[in-house]
Amino acid sequence: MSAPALEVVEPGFLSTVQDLGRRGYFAAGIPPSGAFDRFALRVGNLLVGNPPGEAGIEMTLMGGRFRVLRDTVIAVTGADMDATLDGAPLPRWEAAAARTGSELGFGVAQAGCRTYLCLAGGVDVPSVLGSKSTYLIGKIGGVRGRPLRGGDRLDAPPGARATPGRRLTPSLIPSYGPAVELRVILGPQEDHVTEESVRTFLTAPYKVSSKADRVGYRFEGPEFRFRERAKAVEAGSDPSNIVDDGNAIGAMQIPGGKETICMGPDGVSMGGYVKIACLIAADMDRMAQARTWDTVHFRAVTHAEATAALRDALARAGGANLIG
Amino acid sequence: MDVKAQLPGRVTEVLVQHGQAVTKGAVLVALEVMKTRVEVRADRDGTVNHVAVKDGDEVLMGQLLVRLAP
Repeated sequence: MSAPALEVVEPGFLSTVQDLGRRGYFAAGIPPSGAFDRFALRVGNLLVGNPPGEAGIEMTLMGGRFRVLRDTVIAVTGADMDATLDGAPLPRWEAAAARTGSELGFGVAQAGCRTYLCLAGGVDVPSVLGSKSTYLIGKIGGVRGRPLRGGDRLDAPPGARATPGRRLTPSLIPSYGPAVELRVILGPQEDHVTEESVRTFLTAPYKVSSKADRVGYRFEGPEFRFRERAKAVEAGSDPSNIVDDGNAIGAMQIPGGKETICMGPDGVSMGGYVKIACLIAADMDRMAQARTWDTVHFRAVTHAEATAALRDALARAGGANLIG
Repeated sequence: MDVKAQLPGRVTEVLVQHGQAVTKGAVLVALEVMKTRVEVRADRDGTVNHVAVKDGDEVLMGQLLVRLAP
């Protein structure tokens, strides 16, 4: 039986419970949700002896404060939010023992955007459609389908065995900075814009907008120019309209040709806008750590390169890369 | 006293003017941060003696928004 392990004192800017997501319902309009930076959640879980897909806490831009309600082992991964345990600096990417009554504190992200807090045994919230992940728009998963609030108590199953001091091989610790390269596969409708616009998309700097969130990451940059085409009245009046079709997570829509919106883990399943490209799955983690006004360059890769990059990303998040 | 942006975002509303007296808790500036409205408040009584931003400005973490006197 689970017992309270952690109490939220202050939630921070936006903190939610996330596992690796809710698979199989996107055709019904329910997105996978789940940790935006999957590498960070997977490693956090492995550090505290959990299966990689267990639920942890995802904090955004500014972290919260938490009280430890019973002895446990924790790990902090992802963005650097100056984590402290009872006031002492807490290293990231490393498991640490936390005693009953201790206080865990997080500040503003110094680099990167999202920080994960994992605890031995995981976070015991009800599974909804096969996942503990919070989907804010649908108000399901996590703690009553909402962000964490002060006073929330999170349960964890007792008896989990974990090794304090276990850490990630240092060479695999990602660095986050204000210039980010994201790899994409062009299409499926890149032929709706001019060749020059495709070239511009792949060479010009874009900026993460203040509207970027878990639903979609919005980028500001040069506008797209559309090719002359036969009027498809049923698609809509704007040249950026198409007859609605399905989105992939990572699909990049260009409504009006004015902005680029990349579907995040809470993305919508359909859309009536040209999709210039799709972010490769391996780089979703990198997008998750990009923050407002960071500079982004998009680089086109092939399916084969995207698949190889994903295999490599999954291998890096494997238990073989932990020390201790 | 300098009131700075804690998080990066876009200024969506400036609610004070130069010379205006404000009380603790008054909203000075509203920012859009990751699609969420964040209100930056005065943490004490004072008078606005400098407004460093306007509607639509992009602000970075730590950027000056408003200066309060004394």
